[in-house]
Amino acid sequence: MDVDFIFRVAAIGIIVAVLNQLLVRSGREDQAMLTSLAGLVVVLLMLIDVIGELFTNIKSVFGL
Amino acid sequence: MELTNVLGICIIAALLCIVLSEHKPEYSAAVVLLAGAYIFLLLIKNIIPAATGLLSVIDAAGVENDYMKTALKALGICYITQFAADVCRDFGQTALASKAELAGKCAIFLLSLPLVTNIVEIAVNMIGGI
Repeated sequence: MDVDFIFRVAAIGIIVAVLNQLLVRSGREDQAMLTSLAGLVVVLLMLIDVIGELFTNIKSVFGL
Repeated sequence: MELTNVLGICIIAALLCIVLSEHKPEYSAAVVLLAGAYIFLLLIKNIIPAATGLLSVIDAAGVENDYMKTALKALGICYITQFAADVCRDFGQTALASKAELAGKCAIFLLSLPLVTNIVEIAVNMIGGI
């Protein structure tokens, strides 16, 4: 993994927040909710890889 | 690993969290988790040569290697448990954090149980020998 991941997650968060505001202002609350949900799913998919890499690394280093 | 790299990542991640927590707190949690995992991965690369060096020194001293390996395993369990517990505590879930710590304690106790039984056996033998 790279340090880019942190910035990517933060950028997704900011973009989703802006989209959310826009959609709420234009009266589409349901689409705003779906947008934030989709962003969260994307971020979680990115997180799972990194956490899995971390745990397998620790397991192999310490021989667990 | 460089110390300045880790420190810079910490500061930048903290700043990003402040920006994100106003509108989308769940993303600030993700940033914290990612930054923690990344720093951990950087540190692990440092720990590998340290651990192998320590094991070779123990080998040279002629002490049994199994004990040192058990200690290293306990150290690894401590690291991942602490990581998970800290993340849970950061997200405000102290109950889950204490459960994670309890799981780690159980794992370490199970790991060190053979050593404890060894010590008890030696003690019983000594008492019986008198």
